[in-house]
Amino acid sequence: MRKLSVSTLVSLDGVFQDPGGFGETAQGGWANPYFGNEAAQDSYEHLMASDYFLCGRVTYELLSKRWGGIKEGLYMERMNSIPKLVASRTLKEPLGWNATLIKSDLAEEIAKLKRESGGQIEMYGSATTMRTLMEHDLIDEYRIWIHPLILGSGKRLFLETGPAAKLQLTGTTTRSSGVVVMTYTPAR
Amino acid sequence: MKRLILQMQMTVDGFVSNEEHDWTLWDWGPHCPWDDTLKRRFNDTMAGIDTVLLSGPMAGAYIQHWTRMAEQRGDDPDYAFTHRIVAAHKRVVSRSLPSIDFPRTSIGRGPLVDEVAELKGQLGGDIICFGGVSFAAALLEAGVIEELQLYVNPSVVGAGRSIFRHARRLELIDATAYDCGIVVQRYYPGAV
Repeated sequence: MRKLSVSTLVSLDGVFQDPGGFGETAQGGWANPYFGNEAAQDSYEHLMASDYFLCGRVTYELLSKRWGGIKEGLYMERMNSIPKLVASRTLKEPLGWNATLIKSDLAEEIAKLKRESGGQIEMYGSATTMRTLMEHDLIDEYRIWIHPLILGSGKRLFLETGPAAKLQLTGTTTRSSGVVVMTYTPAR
Repeated sequence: MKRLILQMQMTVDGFVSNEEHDWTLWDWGPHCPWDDTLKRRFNDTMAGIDTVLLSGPMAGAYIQHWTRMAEQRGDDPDYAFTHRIVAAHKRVVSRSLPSIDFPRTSIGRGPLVDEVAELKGQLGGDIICFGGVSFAAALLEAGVIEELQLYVNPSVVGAGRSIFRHARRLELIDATAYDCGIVVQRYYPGAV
């Protein structure tokens, strides 16, 4: 059984939009001052433990454009080489960035992949995709990186239209940057 | 000088109020499902308090509830803090509340910042505030909070009310995970 793990950078008020400053919002790039070596190493290790990187269309378009050409650093190297799965009803194949399109039945496709043995599936961001996966109870782990700041506006990771969820805390790491990484599994 | 601590229960997605879902582990009732370490921490925090700052809408119900709980559960060391609440000075800040009739309770008419400054100038333990939402948001906006304590409950609700309004940076003091699933995050909100 593969595990599906979601890793997302959020503000204290639950906003996750444009942490890297990829031109989405005026306050984009808010996570950059906090993303040091510790964070890059941790992200790298999770990608190395994964066979697939999963995201929605918006995240795919932003990340592939921004990160696609970067060759420096182990994290970026792995990020660019890992096989990707992109959930979208509007994108057309072929996709770049070593990505495969999941056009329909996202839940079914992911459920099928999860039944295989192998490394985990790592997902970043992607609120809409995450909502669908939550509705089908397909997420095994949430890694929420709480940043010590309030954004006050912007898109939220957990959508108002999504399901409410009770979680089980499995770990907490406090980084020297002031970011608190909280790890949860769905409460069963 | 006294410090003002704002302590709020919060969801993982940053909301402090949601009427639709049952998201807090403890409903402040007679049976607290927190683990012993967190109960001890909460009692320790309250042991350093001698003033509770309350908003008008919340004051009456709050004082009644904890007075009753002190009578019912006050012999249980887990509920030792209820005596602290009863003994503390309760300062209610409200422009509209006509009067309030509880022991050790007084009304201040504001402005909020002046009220807080006056309380901080007195001798003794720290001041704590537990909300309500708008009141907490106003304190945060005014830059008068020395310590923000967020009890992050293991729930996601998607919508609700938040004490966070405008963009600002905070400074993390520490974060501690508890067996019951709550993570207590402490922040220094800084001056505005």
